[in-house]
Amino acid sequence: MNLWQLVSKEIRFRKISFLLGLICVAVAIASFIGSITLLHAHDVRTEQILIARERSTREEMTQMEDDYRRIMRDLGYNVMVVPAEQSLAALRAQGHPDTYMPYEYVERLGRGHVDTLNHLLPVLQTGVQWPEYSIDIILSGTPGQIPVYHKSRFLTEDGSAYRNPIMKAVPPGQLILGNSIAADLGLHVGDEVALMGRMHTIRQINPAEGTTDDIAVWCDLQTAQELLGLEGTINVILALECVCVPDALGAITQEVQRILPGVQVMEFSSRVKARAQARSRAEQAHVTAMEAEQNHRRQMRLERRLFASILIPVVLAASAIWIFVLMLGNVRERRLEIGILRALGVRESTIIAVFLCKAVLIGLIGSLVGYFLGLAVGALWGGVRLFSGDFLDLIRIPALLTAVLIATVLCAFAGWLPAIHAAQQDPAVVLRDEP
Amino acid sequence: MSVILNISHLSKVYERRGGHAVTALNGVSLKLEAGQFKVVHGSSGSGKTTLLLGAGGLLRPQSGTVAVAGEDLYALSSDARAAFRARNIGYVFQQFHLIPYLSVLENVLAPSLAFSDGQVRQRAEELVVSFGLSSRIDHPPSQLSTGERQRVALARALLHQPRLLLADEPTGNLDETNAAAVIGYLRQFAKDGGAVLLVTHDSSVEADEKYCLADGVLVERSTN
Repeated sequence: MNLWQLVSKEIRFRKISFLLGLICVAVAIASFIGSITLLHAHDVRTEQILIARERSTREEMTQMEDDYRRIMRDLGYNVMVVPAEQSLAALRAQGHPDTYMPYEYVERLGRGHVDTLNHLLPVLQTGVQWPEYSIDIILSGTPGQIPVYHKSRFLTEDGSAYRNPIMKAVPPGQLILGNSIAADLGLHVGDEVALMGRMHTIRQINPAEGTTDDIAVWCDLQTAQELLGLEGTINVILALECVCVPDALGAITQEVQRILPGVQVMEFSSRVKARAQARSRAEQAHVTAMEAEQNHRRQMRLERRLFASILIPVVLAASAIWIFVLMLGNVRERRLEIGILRALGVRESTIIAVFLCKAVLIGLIGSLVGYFLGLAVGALWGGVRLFSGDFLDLIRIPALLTAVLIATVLCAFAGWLPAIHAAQQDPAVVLRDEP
Repeated sequence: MSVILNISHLSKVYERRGGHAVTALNGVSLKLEAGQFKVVHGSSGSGKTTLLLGAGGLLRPQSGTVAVAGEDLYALSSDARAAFRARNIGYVFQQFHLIPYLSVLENVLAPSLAFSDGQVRQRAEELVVSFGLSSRIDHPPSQLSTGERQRVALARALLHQPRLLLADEPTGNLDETNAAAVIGYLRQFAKDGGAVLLVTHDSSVEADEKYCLADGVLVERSTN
């Protein structure tokens, strides 16, 4: 016969008392672990919500960015780079620059790693009279778009041209007419016309824009340079402001002037800018919503933590008192048995060990039951599905060990006084008084 | 013959509430040698149980000494006295005082909680057999007859082969047959070299020496 046999037999004999002790400890530990798990589950859930929100925002913003990029491309160029000495008043009055810069400027810009601009279109344009028809036009020559070479994602595989340019090159011998000119002269696509003595085929007639573009005649750059006697020059580089810098005239100017010191930069399309600003506001709204969600979750966590900080000590104290009462009841119930054992020569320390062993056993088993009960309740309350990956992540060995330690110490503490009381009972009194 | 129990001038007074004192033992002296079987008679409340508890080291007297096998019990510490009791003294009670959730064998083995050697289980099984309890070995006390319960209590008292057996009204709850059997076991224990002190109100029990305890005073009545 050893201590363990005696304790286990007694537990089996007084199952209800033991079960009540277990329930008491399990509930206390479940409250403790449940509160902690709820906070962990809350954190896990918060992280999930914020990640999902962020992903959704990112996807929406990416979609929006693509949409705006496409819209901006469809709306056309919104930035122009002109020589530094160009008068803005003259530009507005004439509808085209009247100063010039070398063609190689656009090549330098294209190779200069500009981030704020895209779709560079070098143009030589000036107001002239179409002598064959005696009508004023803006003659515009362009070789087509020059790539910003480091933005390879917009370019063809060999990196030499845009996959989707805003404006394609006008082949030599062909013309693109503004809508007003074509209408006034009754010209159509495919008609053969002479321009300053050179024959051209009409390739395209642009839709009406209500701007000076309606009186523009586009040809290839070299032809324009030859016709105007301005070989090797251009007077404007049209470009598209990158959607990544919606309000960045300053940044564009700084970046362009770093490469081309002798130029000035102007924005000329407020519609595009307004849309980009709307996109920026939408992005800001998303950020604000995320912050609001974070604040809400933080507040909820604080409330739950406060609740736990009150609940846990109360439940643990109640549990200790309950164990104490149960153990004291057990001592009274086993008064005669203690007397017999003492008469048989069992030492006081062994009697104490019998009661402490039982109390510790209640603590150990109760804490294990309570841990998993608390884990399940806390997880479910915190919105984590049982046995999911997130649920398994909530199992913390240190928390389990802490729960076992707390419960064991609590029970040993609660069982200590009753155990001492049991050991100090006078066996003579018990044996004399018991019937 | 060696003296197993030597009670000398033992006095015990119970202080009751209200300052009223009851003298249970008044200068009681008694010697018990190995092989002796002595009986103390007395009516209820005469101090028989107090004498037995004092003789077993369970009840410290106001004065006097109790020596078992030459060891002054009350000169020992509580734990040392408990250890000494476990090895040298066996108790048998009128109410048997078996532990209700232990089987017959486990009850017999209960003293091994205090002290155990390698032979204890074998001895317990032998005792169960010798007391005719083989068929009841795994039964709890609630399933035993009163005679069987007392035999279990007797076997438990003998587990550690004590030198002294103290029996408090061991036949009080038994029928004649069972009572005779129990007295027979006690007598046999004494014949085997042990010493038995039995207290009972039954004056028909034969013994080596008979005493009468009345008002805390022990008087020798007759000798066989």
